[in-house]
Amino acid sequence: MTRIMAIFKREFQAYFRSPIGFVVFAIFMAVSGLYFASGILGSYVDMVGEISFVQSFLFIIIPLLTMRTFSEDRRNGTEVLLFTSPASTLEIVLGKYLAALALFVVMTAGTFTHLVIAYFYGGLLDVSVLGAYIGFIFLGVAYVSIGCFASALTENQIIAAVISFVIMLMLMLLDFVSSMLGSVASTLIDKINVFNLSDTKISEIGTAVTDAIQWLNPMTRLNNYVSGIFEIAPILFFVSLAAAFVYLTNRILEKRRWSQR
Amino acid sequence: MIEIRNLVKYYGDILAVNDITFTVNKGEILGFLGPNGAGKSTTMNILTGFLSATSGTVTVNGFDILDNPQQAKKCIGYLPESPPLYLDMTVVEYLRFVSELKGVPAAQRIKQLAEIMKLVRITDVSGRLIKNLSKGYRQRVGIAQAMIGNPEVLVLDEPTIGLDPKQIIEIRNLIKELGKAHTIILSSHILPEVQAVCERVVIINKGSIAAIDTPEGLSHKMAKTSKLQLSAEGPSRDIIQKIRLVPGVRNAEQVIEKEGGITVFEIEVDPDTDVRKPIFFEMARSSWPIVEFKSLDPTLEEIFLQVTSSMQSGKRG
Repeated sequence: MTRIMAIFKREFQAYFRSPIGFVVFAIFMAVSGLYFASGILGSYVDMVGEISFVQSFLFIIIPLLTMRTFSEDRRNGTEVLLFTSPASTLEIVLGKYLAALALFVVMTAGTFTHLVIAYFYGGLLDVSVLGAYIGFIFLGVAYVSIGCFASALTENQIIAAVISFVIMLMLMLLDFVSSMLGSVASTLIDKINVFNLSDTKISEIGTAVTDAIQWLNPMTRLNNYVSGIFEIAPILFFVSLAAAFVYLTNRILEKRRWSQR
Repeated sequence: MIEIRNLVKYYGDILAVNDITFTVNKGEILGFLGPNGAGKSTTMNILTGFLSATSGTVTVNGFDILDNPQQAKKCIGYLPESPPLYLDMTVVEYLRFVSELKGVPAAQRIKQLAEIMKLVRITDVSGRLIKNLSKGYRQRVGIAQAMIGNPEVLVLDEPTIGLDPKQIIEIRNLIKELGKAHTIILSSHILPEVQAVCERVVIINKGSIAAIDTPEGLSHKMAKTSKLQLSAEGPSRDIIQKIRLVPGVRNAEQVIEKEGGITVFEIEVDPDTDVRKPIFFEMARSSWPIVEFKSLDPTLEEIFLQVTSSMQSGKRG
């Protein structure tokens, strides 16, 4: 635990020893501030809208935040220090992951300034704002783990950023992809109808395919949160996604050092 | 203290380390000598637990580096070939991070850091960013990093590489000083360095051990022939003929012709015979002025040739 803490501390501070932490923070605040300002100039506040607006930029912000986590250490040779220390690989991964996540939470907390302004000007703040925030944070929990995973794949930070960018972009496009694949599936079955299925059955299969892919879509899981309905399932989904990617990151780092050939 | 048994490491199809076995005794300074690409760094990376071996075992203080990595790694301080420094931190911030990482109890941290910084003499630069330090200071911060947590074994990979001569002497003295309280494994591709510091030398070439011996034993083995280098002005063919006639000279060859009629020769001589005076008088008699005359240190490749061939002829003599 002290070792995770040591790595966490160093990593978190490292964001502010180089420009990258400030730059990412600035982008985050600029994106959220843009939405907030345009609203408040028209004398209305929509925090839920603001959060979902920022959410659509996460596929750029998170890769910038996480691209350095493992790539930089590998390039600079400092990974030797970490891996020959008594810390286990999992402790190293957790320390770095939590540091990136902490910066994400701090950035999110930066938008609380908007909340304060909104409150004093009598803006509408209800439970849906809280829901949107919780959903946003848990989306970050998952996305940061994806970014860390991408960073463990390469020693080039740019490539790491591009990989996580592509993964997150694909997740964003799932909405579109799922309905497309669903219709592709039903058309295909229609063409080679071996089991003589009825048209309704075929379209049901198409919807099933769409739903199955949508099940993976992080975005759809947040719909209920924004309307103020709190469920445990989405949280479990995001935490499991994060756990899966932390585990994969751990495996990749170990494999690279422990491969026999 | 450290036992390395039948270590083999492949990178893809390339054999980097081929069946290495040796032990390091408690309190000794062991030199690990070999040319570039001999497998020194790979062996060190394996015995510190950074890489895994393809086969073979490493135990440190009785702890297997694979089965019990945490305990084994606690006994080792490692300075890799390029010091693993975070350039964006100050020296003291960095060392504090390393002591937290190595789990030094908070109460001891400040005292231990002060002692180590004083020993490697980086106290005056403790507040400076590592990226602003010179190579010599960075190397010392690297050594300080390895010493944190007071490990019994220090593994130093080419600790004097890229330093200026004054810094090299300082670092060597520091290593000798550290050797009083630690077991040290030190790699180098410079023979005099290993001779100056180490009590025992493991010579490795192309991934295999060529010899394990004391520095004295090694130089004894190497005294088979010695070489001289002579620069002189005069007709090179005649000079070679004259020199070859001097008793004790095995061979003489022209190496290069310099400007102004000066030629450089390499002279192979029987061991334990001094041919410098006879050669001088021969040259003087023919009025061929000698510009430079010196004995040549054997290159590492020659040492390997000699050590391996003497091992084969003398059956591990």
